[in-house]
Amino acid sequence: MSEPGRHPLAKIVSITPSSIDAFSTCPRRYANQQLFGTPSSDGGPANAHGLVVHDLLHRIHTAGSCHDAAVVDAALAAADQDTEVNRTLIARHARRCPVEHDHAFHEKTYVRFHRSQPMFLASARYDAIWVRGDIVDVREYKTGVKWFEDLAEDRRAVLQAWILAERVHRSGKRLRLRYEYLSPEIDEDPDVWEPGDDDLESLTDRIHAIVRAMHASDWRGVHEPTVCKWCPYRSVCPDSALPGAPIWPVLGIDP
Amino acid sequence: MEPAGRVDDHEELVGIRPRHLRDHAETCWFRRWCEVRGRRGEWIPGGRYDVANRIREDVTLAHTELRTATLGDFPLPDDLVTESQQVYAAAARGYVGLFGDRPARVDDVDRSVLGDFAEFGVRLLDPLGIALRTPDGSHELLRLQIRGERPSLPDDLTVLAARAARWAGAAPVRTIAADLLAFDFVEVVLDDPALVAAGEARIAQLARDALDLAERDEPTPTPGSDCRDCKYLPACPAFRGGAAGR
Repeated sequence: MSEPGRHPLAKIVSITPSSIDAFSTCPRRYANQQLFGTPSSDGGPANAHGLVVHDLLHRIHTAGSCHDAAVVDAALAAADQDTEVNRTLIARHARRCPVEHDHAFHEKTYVRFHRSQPMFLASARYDAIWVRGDIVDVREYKTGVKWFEDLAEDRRAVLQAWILAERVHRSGKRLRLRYEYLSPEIDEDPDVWEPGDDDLESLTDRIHAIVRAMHASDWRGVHEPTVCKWCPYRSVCPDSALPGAPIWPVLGIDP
Repeated sequence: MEPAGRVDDHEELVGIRPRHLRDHAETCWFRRWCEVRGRRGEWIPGGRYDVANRIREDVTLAHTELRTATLGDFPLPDDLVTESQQVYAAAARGYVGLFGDRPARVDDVDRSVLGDFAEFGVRLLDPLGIALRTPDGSHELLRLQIRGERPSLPDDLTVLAARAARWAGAAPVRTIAADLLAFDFVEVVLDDPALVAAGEARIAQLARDALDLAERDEPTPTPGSDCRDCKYLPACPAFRGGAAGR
């Protein structure tokens, strides 16, 4: 068996909120996702229903408003997703969704390039951006587990804020980031985060530190059961604390 | 249809990548312009394709002669990381399980045949697939993936048909897309001259668009999802403004 070794990163690393979260959780997970291209060995897409909900909200907001019952009904019907669960999630979202706005963007990708060594290109696809007066109100729709009460501690939020921060600052507006947890099991969202001018430099430093760590990494896994149990590669990773059998077909073929 | 430009030296053919076959709202024309002009960019490691490339090579080697493939044709590479070795082993089992009862021989056809449309001035850069001949002389095109997902063929088969026809002429081509981890495949027989004609027309249009773009002045970039694996970031006008870029 090959020992884990260094695998060359690109000179300009491309990072996203999910990829830096993966690296910070476990470097081996990141390596499997981004460097080795390893297909998942333990289960299907991470959150298939979450993708459905995102698509529904995109349809609704593109066609009109989540406050308009007819628009919601039409979107659910068009996607063949008119279920009690989906209606509940959409209603929970609508209670938090701005009623009025000046401009809106949905499912839009923004990027920011950092030219100092080590260089990196950060990109993120934003679920919704509502521009209201001097506020750029960024919303992310979450259907999974809430990991952080403070968005400033969530690496994904940090990168999402960093990507937009300078652009928003130049426009003279304020950036506000909110994660909406739509599942009924989660009562409260994390506090809304408005990174100030003082935060911007520290955001850059934090992300830069992650990228430097990537370049220095030997890609070993963390070997922690609490981490491994969520990993889509736990059955094939040599550092897994929960080894098992991959879901790939096992064929009765003699070598 | 009129050729976009005739070239005698194949090295001057404009490269058309799979992503050029579809435009989307976030297409960056600066990146596209750099690509069609053949600009060098930053090197991007291709480690994520190691297993797929190795499997394709070993399948090709296994069918150097007219015969079936066995697991013995897939020696475990010792230069891959552990996970990739397991993917390779599973993919090898998948190939033998799906196609191990089908003898075939790789058709010794130059790669340029499957990609070059010199009369239009372009070369299609994505691998068409493994070109095989079966014992009865039939043509078979094998497109392999290792994703653990349902395999698929393009919705628009015209370009595929036109490329296959460069190899097989008027003969039907059984075209198979297989996912070796999902242990599944789909197939279609390409034998419709109208499809080939439509494909050539599409390629001719792509060629005209590409050559037209290559002749233009540097377009304004559109930063977005196209940036993620772009080789031209350091030279990109969108990011020349300093550390932060746009």
